[in-house]
Amino acid sequence: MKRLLKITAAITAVALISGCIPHTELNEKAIVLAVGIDYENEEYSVTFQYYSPTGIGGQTPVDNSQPNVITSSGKGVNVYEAMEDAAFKCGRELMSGVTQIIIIGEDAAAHSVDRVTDFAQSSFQSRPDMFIAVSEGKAEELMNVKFKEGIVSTQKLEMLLQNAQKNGLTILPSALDFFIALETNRQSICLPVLKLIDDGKSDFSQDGKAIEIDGGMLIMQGQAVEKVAPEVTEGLQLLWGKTEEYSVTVDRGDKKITLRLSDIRVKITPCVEAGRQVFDVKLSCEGRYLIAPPTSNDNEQMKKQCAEKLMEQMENAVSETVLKYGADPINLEKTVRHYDCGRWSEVKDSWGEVLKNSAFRFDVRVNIDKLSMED
Amino acid sequence: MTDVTKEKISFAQLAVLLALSRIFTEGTEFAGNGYTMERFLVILVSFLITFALFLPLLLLSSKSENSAFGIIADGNKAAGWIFGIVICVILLAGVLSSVCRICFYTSSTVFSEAPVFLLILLPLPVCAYAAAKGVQGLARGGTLIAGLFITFLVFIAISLWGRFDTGWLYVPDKISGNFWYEVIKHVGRSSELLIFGVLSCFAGKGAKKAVFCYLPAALLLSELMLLAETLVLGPFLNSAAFPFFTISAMSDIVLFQRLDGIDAMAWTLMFIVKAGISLLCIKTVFGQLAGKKAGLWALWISAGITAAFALFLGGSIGLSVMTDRFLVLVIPAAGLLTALAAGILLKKSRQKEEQASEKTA
Repeated sequence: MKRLLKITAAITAVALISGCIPHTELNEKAIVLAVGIDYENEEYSVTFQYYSPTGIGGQTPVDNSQPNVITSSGKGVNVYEAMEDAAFKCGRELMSGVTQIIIIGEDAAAHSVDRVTDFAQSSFQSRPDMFIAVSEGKAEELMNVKFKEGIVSTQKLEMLLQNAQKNGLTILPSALDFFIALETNRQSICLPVLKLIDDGKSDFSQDGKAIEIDGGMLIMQGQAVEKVAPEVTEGLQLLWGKTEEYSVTVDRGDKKITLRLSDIRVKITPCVEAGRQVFDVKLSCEGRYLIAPPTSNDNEQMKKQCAEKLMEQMENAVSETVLKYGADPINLEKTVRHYDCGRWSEVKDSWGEVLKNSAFRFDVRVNIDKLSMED
Repeated sequence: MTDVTKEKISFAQLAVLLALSRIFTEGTEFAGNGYTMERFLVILVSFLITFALFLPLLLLSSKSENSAFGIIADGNKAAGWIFGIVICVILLAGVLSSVCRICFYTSSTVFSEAPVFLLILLPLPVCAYAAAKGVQGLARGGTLIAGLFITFLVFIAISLWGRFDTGWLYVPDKISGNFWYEVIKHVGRSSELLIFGVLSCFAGKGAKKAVFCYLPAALLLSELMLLAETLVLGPFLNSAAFPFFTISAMSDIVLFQRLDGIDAMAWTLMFIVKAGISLLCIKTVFGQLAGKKAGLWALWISAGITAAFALFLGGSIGLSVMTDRFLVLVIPAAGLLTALAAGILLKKSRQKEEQASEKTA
């Protein structure tokens, strides 16, 4: 009996105490799925897409053919203030626990990516694995594109970026990768650039708009430096070692042969030669023909040409970023520190100059499965 | 002296309680850790020094089944009161620091909307109740919490396996100037010295085995947690206020989308053990000095004082940092003095016993 009374008292206490904590019901919150941040005239503007189910004949059921999101915008002297203004306008409390992407406007990125994203860093609700991208033009314009595919509009954008990353077409850092980069010496990273296609022809959104990935934005010292071509981002993605699969097309005279590369492994080791920083890049991968070569004797030649193509891609990426600006979008700092901490202590104060004068040696090995050729 | 030490627990249970207390201290050392491999060495060296500080107590426990404090209280009443009060004040300061830490942690992460007074007032009675139930209840609860914590760590390791980047590890070329300061800071937070000095009697003869188990286990887990943080966060460790919480939020497994809520729960449970075991020491000290009832009163009054202080100062992390600074040299000194005093009194009582037996002979 005594035990029963104790249990009842405990359950009652739990039930009563929960009422003491101020709370907001889920349906009263703005579940933020994507945030766009712009900077103009020394003022930040924030536009966010939040979840709003559009069901047939009711409020709660989700209609998959609808974007199921609403946008809200606000302005302020900093991102926090702009977010508060946007929240005030939508009349809901913000919940950033499931935010999938942050898009930084071109001007905001040129001003300071650090200041733009510190709200995500200090908010413990937000997921550190959400994506960060830069928009060509204003981020607000991209926020207003509402895709019909998926349960929510942002799902389409997320899938677009993930798929591109998987296939080595873009570099796609998560918020954590981004925060890590901002803690390194050069505060450098390459973010994907998203471009609005407003020709009214797209079936993906209600108003015929679409979003495309168009190269990357090189960030250095926490600011956007230059927009780089898609080929550069592909090369950086290869060097970053996060490409799962990649297609290479090799010109074989009258025929263009495409190879699908998988199991791509990259290892970068630093060394010093005649006082110059040198990086040895070793890339190995497995190849499979998507279009068969004319003869089976072409295999060795194909391997060589494919390796040359990959090498060219990586060389181009390095020369456009590391050698041109002394930027470090592939975290060479980590490599040097890992292999030779003494060397890192020597060069950390002049790391940018060291990178500009560094050299890269590439060793690419492509192993093409002959069976795929016989198929 | 009143015998309040009739309850017995195994050395493994004592080891689990001590290890949880230590891991809580290591795990809630939030900001300012920085991305440096020296921290691995700091933890290792601080554990080695802690082991050295444990040696007198271990020597004592091999000679007597009674705890160091029990020997003092039995040998000299005045010394018992002096040592008892000093130990209780130090442990209470440790509880106050822990309350502020867990309050700061939970209010900054998962319970941002909850009023601070609730975050202070809710767990403290739980700790006091756990201590009031006695060492056996606390030991059983501690074992369960340890199991949950290990499971949580396994989940973290599985879900973050793909994100571990060994490239972030490096061999430091030199030891920085504040290495020994950091080591002393870690050693100074080993309140388990005093806890063992009071509670070792509950484990009887096997008490010293508890130290041989708890120190390696706590060392291993602390190093593993730091390793996981370093492999996932790299230089972001310089800015991450709650690194383990951040990596928990990264995990993405079928069962749980993110483990940060479980992380907050795990540290809250660890806090209950840490504060519970300290309050149990206070109960034991006063129980041995003035009787079982006085022990219980001391326990609830101590919990009340801690709550009042924490509430008065708003559960600020600054208070915790200040308390820890005060404890840095106090805990090792008190641990050594307790062992020394207990050693002297034990020798005296043995001499007296020998003289008495000679007389009878």
